[in-house]
Amino acid sequence: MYYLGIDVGSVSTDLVIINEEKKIIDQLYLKTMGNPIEAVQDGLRKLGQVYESKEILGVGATGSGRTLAAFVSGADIVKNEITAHGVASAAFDSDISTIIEIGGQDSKIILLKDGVITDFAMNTVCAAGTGSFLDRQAERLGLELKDLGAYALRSENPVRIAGRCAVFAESDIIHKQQLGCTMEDIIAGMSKALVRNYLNNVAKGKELLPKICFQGGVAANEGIRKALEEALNTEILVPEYHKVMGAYGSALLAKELVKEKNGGTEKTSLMPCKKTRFKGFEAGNEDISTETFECCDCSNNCEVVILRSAGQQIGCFSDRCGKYQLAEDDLH
Amino acid sequence: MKIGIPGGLLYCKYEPFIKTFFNEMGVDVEYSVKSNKEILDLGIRSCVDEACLPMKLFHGHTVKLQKTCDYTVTPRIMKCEFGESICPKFQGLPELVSGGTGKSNQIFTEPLYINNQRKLKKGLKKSCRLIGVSDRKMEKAFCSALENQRNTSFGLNERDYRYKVFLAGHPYNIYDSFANMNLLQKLHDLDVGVITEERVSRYEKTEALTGLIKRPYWLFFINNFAPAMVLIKRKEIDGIIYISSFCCGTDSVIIEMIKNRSKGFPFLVLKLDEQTGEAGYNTRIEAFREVLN
Amino acid sequence: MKITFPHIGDAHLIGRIFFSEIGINIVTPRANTVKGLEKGSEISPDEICLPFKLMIANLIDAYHLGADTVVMPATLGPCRLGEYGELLKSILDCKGYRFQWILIDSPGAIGKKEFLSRLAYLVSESDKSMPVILWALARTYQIIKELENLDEKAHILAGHEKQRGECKKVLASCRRDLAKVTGVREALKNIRYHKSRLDGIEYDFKKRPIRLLLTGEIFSMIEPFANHRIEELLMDMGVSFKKRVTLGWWIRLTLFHPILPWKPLKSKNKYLPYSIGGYAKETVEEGVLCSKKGYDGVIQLFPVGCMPEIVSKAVFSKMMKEKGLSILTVIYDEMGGEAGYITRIEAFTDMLARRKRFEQNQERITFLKRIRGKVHVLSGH
Repeated sequence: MYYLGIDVGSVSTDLVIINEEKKIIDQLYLKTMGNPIEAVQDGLRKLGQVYESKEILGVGATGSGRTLAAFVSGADIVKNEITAHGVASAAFDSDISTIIEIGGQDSKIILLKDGVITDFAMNTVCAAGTGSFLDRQAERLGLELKDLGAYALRSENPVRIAGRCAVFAESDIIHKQQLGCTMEDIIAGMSKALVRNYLNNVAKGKELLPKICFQGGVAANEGIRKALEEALNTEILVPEYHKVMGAYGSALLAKELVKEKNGGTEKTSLMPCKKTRFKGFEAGNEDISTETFECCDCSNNCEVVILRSAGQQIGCFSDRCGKYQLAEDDLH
Repeated sequence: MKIGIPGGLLYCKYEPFIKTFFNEMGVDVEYSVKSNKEILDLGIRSCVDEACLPMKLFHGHTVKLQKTCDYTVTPRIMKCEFGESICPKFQGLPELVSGGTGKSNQIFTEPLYINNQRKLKKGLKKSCRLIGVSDRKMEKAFCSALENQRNTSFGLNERDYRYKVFLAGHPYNIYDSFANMNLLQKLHDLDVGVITEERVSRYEKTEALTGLIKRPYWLFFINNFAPAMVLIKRKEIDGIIYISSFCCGTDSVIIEMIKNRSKGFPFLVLKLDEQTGEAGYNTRIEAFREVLN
Repeated sequence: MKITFPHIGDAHLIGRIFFSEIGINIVTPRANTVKGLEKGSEISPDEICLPFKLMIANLIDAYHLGADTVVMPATLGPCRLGEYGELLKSILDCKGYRFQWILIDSPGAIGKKEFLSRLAYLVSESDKSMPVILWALARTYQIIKELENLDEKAHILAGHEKQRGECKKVLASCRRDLAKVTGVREALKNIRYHKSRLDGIEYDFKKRPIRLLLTGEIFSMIEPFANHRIEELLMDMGVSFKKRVTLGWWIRLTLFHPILPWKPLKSKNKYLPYSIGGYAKETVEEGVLCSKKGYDGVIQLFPVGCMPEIVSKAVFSKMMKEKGLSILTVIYDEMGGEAGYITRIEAFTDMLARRKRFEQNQERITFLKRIRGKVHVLSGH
């Protein structure tokens, strides 16, 4: 019996399947490509070829597109990515005290004590310290994103790049190029700037105790990891499943929820009393359309988005008053 | 016991007072060096992210002094010479610094009302007692410091250049050549001289403020808006350059007021930030010089 | 004279009731919207704080609806709010929107006499006698207070309700009805009716919801558009919370405090002992209070660039270390997406809830251990 976790981020959509022993059985890392509905459906279709819908006892959704993912798949629990990452790391290694997470659109720091989140922070200023910035620079330099790390490691003399604002950083990079600096040095400088920016902005005033765990899409970048290790003067752990930790966490949350609903007994696999809301992997084949309109019924003028599957409404966003929302019972 | 005096913020304006005051009292003091990259980095690391560049520099100066000194001076200026206030961050400076640097060894944190000599003396006296200076010694030092401050003239009025601009902004941006990236030198190289607000009399400033619906309470409102109006009227300047710290609260109002009242007059706003690229900064100054032609 | 003023939370709701009671028509600009904000940002200086951009949009809207006189609250600096009036006039004049301006400065700044004469000018077109006006004024204050009590009660009960969203519905319906009432008496009746409705909801008082304190810059506390409706958001999450910074609180602090001879007792606070403009000192006081009264956490809200609250943020970070408080600082601007905003608040409440559960479990375990130990000792004898 399995649990499914879905993490819809700006850059990637990840799906993870775990078993009763909290071990990751299967994982998918898909590019969101600006179309989260399609990405989630694609993931469901792919997993549906291997697993059966009735094997799934619970589904969790997280990430910036969590509500959407929940509408499409029928998730049991919808939680923000901070909680999900915290839960995932605590399950991965209970000694972890600090989580550094750098994703596509935002970066976070999460502090744990005894496996419980005690403090967290997210980036406030702009996207300078995040994955999409690296993505864009890689493209501008004509490199593959995955090669950036290797380039940074080869550098002997990293240049200094102003890093707090993406626009300023970019013009600084261009300036340094025009001064004739090597590609390696610029990329290493960029990694350093990103780390400096992260530590000065997101992690300001926080005590980063070991073990420190580095996850999110950017964790794959060796150059950033090295720059972090240098700046913090300590070893940094990158978990094997660093890319899908959010999805892993939400699967764990789903498992926790199922356990709670069943009165705390672990034997859910034998007699699942509460049924999951999961629509099954077939949901991957549904034809989902969206409709956007401005509601003029009151002065709020909300821009309402309605999701439909085969003519039937499955979800709705951004109505302040809640009148377009489905009642709880209609959902299942 | 050693006392550190950070060279940031309004230090440039009250330097004669501060130097004489501590000299006369015979206290062991350490003045910070001019702002530099190291100080800025220290400041960025410790200061609240949302604060402006001068605040970050002040934090940097303080952190650097904290390494060698037992106390650092962190004044809480509530009111200036004529009862104007500055910015909430000045009034909460000790809290800002102790929250940011994590150390609570700030002294001279009593509220200072510079417009009221008696109150000012009282405010300073408390801290002087704390560092073991007798009241008599302090009072003597206070008098000569005050005299020295009064006898020093401030401001620039350069006549040997082809053009003249009113250099507006806060004194710590105007006189800190690290923060403003050597602006004065750059202007001189372009044959542009400057005049600063100190060279416009208090009487003229007050005159220029009539016509507002409310008497402004900010020091920098009065010291930038009013001289700009006066100098434009006198036809003494060719343009205005305003150096402003990025996300400065008071400047957002002042700049707009000057813009609205000086329609069409050459007006350049230079924003300072810890990451302003020098290339773009130079381009702007050079382009403005063309406008003056 | 057609009076208008910018939207500040319920100010229009209440202002309309008061002015209609004394026979003056006021112009209510349309509620704040994203479009209005865009329009406001267009003509405001770039780095001015968010309230200004919203207010300027309100005033232009009101101008098109026929308003000709603006009543503007102002304070004694050094925060920017005090200069709002000046800058608004300057920009609107340039754009051709000519208004008559009445600045309601705090009596401390302009003197009681001037303050009262400005108020007198405000009501000069009323055909009612002075005693009636004063009576209406007193009753209006009562409305503010009762509405606040209703809010406060609902905010706390929201954590206990059996059916999520009931309390929120009562508040929404109360405001909808208040927008239609014609006089002071009817308004009070309406509020009392909704109070009884609130009492009629089913609650579960065994539940132990997390308790939060909401504090921060005053405009973002009062105006729901500015704070992305944080109150509704928290009520939806089943959080019990308290918000002390309200319209009535502001009236008591800025208007009553200097006019009336008695002064409210001020709590001492070593973290920020002096008033530094804006309401930073008060914000910090709230935080100190929170640590004493057993709240689980504090949410501090302010718009980008708010000068006084930057100081209180630094103070809060110090308090977090010294007192072990949990404080979430949310800084928003007009570009900030709602998603990140909600994520942060959700994560914060989640963190507190999980921690609370963890602590309770821990307590139970130590309790059980202690009992077991006792049993062991007993059986040993």
